Amino acid sequence: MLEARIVGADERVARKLDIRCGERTIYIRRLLRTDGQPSLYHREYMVYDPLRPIVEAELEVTALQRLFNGTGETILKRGDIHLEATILNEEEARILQASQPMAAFCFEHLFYDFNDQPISWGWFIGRADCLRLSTQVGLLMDQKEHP
Amino acid sequence: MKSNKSDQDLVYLLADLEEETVLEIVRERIQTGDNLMQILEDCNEGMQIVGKRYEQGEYYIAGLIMSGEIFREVVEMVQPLLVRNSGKQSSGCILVGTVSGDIHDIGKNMLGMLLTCYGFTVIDLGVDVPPAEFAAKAVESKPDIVGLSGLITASFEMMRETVLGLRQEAEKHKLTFPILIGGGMIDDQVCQYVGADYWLKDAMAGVRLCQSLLAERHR
Repeated sequence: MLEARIVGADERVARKLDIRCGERTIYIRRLLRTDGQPSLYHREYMVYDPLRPIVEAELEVTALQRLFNGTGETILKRGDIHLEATILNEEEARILQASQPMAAFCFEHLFYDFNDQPISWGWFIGRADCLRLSTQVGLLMDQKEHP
Repeated sequence: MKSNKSDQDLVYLLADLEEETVLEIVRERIQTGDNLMQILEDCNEGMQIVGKRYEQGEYYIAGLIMSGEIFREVVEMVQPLLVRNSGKQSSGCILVGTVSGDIHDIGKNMLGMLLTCYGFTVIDLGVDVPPAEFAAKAVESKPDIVGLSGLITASFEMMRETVLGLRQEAEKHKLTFPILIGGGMIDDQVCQYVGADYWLKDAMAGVRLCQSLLAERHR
C-alpha cells in the first residue's frame, strides 16, 4: 500500500461514484508485485463509510485474479471491467520500474453494492511485457471434480 | 485554561471520526494556549479507541484510514507551533528511511512528523534507500538513533543488510546508536533476524521509545 487517504471527490470521481462533488472518498494507491518485481500499479476511489467493510471487500476482489473469477466473500453485487491498451506515464513508469515509452494494459473497474449504487472506481496499470492474460475454453481438464 | 471535559471531548470525537469538530476543538485549544503535547496525547488516546473498535469489528479499514487522516491534520496544525516554541534545543537526532526495494512511507512520515513535534531533529533519507547510503549518512550526521522502515516482507533481507552495514561503519568510526525497525509486518522474530535493537509498530510508540533511549543515554 503506497497511500491511503480521505479525499474530496472531484467532478470525475463524483460522476463515476454517483456522489456529490467534494463528498469524502477513500483513495488508495498500491503496488502489486510478482516474484518480487513490480507488476501492477493500482489506484482506486471508494465511497467513504467507516461502518461498512468496503475497503476489505475491494482489496479482496481486486486481487486481479478474483476480479475475473468472482470468488471470495463480498459486499459487491456486480462490476463493470474494461481493458484497454495504454502507454505508461512518468509516474507509472517510475513506480513500475519501467523505461519510457512503454506499452501497458489498463483495467478499469467500477463496482456496485446490492443497492446498485457505485461503490468504487479504479484502475490497474500493468506493463505489457510483464502481463499475460490466459483463460481456458471448452471442457475443463479436472473432469474428476466435475463428473 | 482548558477543562478535563474538553480533553475527553477531543478523545471521543476523534474516536467517533468527527473530523471537522476535532479540528475545530484543536484550533480552539491552540488559541486558548492549551498544552500542545496534551492535544497530541488526547488525539493519540482517541486513536487507541479507534484501534479497539476496529479489533471489535465496530469499525473497518475505512475508519482506520479516517482516524489516521484526522491525526495527520492535527499534527500538521500543532507541529509548526511546537517547533517554534521549542527554540533551537533539539531532543536528539534521529536518522530515518525506508530500506532499499521498498517505497512505502506512510508510517515513516508519521513517525518523522511526531518526532519533530516532540523536539527531535529528524533526518529523513526518503524511500528505497540503499544500505551504503544509510551507513554514509550515519557516519556524516552521527545520529542518536537510526530507524529503518519497511512494509513488505521482502524488505527484511535488505533491513538485515542495512543493519550490518550500519554496525560495521559505526564500529569503524567509533559511533554508537541503537537501531530501530518499524513496519506493519514487523515483530520480535523479525527484529532478531534483522539484527536490530528494537522494533515498533506504531508511530507514537516510536516517539516514546526514542524519548526513553535518549533519556537513558543522557543519564
